[in-house]
Amino acid sequence: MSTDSDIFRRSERTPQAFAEVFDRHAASVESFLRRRLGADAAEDALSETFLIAFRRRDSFDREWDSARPWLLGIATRVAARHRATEARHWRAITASMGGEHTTEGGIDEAGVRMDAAAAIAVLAPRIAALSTRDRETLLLLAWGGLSHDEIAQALGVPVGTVWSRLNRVRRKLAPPGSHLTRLTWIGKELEDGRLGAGA
Amino acid sequence: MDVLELVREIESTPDDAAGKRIAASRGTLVAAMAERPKGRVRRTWVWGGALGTASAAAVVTTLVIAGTLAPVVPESASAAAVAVLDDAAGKVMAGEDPVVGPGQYLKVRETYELVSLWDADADPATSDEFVAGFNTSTFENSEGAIRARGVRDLYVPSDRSEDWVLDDRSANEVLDVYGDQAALPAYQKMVAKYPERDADPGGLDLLPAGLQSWDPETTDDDQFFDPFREHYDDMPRDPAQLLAWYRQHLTTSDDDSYLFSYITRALGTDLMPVDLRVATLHVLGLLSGVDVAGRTGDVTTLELRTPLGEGSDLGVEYVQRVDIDTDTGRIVGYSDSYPTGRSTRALPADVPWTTWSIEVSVVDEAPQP
Repeated sequence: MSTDSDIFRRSERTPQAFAEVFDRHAASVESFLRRRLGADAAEDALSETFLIAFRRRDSFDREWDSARPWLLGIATRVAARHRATEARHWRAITASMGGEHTTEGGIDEAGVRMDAAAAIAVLAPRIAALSTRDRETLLLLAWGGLSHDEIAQALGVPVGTVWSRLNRVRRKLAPPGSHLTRLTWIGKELEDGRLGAGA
Repeated sequence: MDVLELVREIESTPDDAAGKRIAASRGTLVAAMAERPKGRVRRTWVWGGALGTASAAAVVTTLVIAGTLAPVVPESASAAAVAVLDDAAGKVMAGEDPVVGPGQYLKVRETYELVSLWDADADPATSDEFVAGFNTSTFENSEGAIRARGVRDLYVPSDRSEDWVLDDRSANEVLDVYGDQAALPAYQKMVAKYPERDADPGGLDLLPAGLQSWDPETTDDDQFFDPFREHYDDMPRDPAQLLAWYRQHLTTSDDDSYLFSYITRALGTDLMPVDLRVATLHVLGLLSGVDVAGRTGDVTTLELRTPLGEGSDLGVEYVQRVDIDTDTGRIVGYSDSYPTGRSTRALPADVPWTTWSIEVSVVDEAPQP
């Protein structure tokens, strides 16, 4: 089976070969964009992402076998263009989960007291309130399923920046006064990443 | 269920209509592949300023992308603008930088005025717990806005490997409240409620060697005040090559409006070597559409107008300006605005989105935490 890099090379002479890249990755890119922008905006954003990818295919780093991180990076920028749409979508998510909930006790405490929907209703506005860079880093991890190295590739930043952004996200999603250690998830991810890098 | 699992749960239900969207999108792509020659497409990236926050740090990290993918025909900077920049570069080359002796600091004072939009619908008056109106607001959905002025001092030691000091203790002064006057108590509540995120006044921080680290353990963060410090020796001094270098290394965008923003701010902070500052001033003259906006005494203002795409809620165009002291060649201020066609009536048209003025001096000491 040819790698994405192979397809990119072929597409230099035969542009239509790029459709194979679309067929491989359209589902995951569509899912990522739909979750960020909502179904109504997803189709246009998906088309826009792949049109940009097609026109800029010569900038894809052929050292990477998979184009998925690169495509999700483009999708991230396309999504950022629709800032108002994304803001509306986050509000819709909150509303669909039963409205905005507030808690002083923390996300994990909320999770104990409420069901998952209610916990998401608490969490969603906090994610919406993150800076664009922090939010896109978080969502590439959680929704894009990218590793730290792949997120770095997608966003064009050093992997250390990815770590620090996720650290900041962890801090910002923690309510004021809470112990960061109570929110262990990104800490564990970072730990795993460091161990993996050192292995 | 932990938080990452919760994030993964959000909108995770498969959508039966996804296949239809993918098929339609594939058709669009295939048609484009058949019709369009391969080539570089210019994008209109817009420096957005402080949408949703009063934090000065956030101002330089927030980007809004606007406009469409329609190709933009490149234009050169005007001859008048190039003449101003050439003259400024000559003044910088011939002038003398402030001498920072041992134990002294270069003090860079930024006085900024920022507009923060407020979405009343996201901020129920009855809620004392969560302030979302300043974080999710856009031109389109905002009912009110706050214009506030702040002051932030950066102290750079003579030995830049030592601790720098960032003094952000000055409380922001609210200058105007536009639209819904409830924006003011919401703003006051926000800065009081979330001191970590929207600190006002902020703190007095030591930055080891200028590293603006968000967490003590993340020393590999690259958020230096002068992010290209390690490259200064290697950065080209030829303006055309330097422009290409900036385009390659500014990973957020390589578009001219973003370059203009980055370069004016980097020159304003004034920490690059003289020859690199000179070359960077010339780079501004290579950017499309830079022109002279006006002159007031020794200060000449250059501007870059970037058309926004049809339908942008930010308006018709994005206008960036930079103030150059023609006596010294130094950048003394800059501003961003969306002056026409914005999708809000809460904000008067003549109010800039952000303005910054820069003063540089040498002082014998810096405040210490």
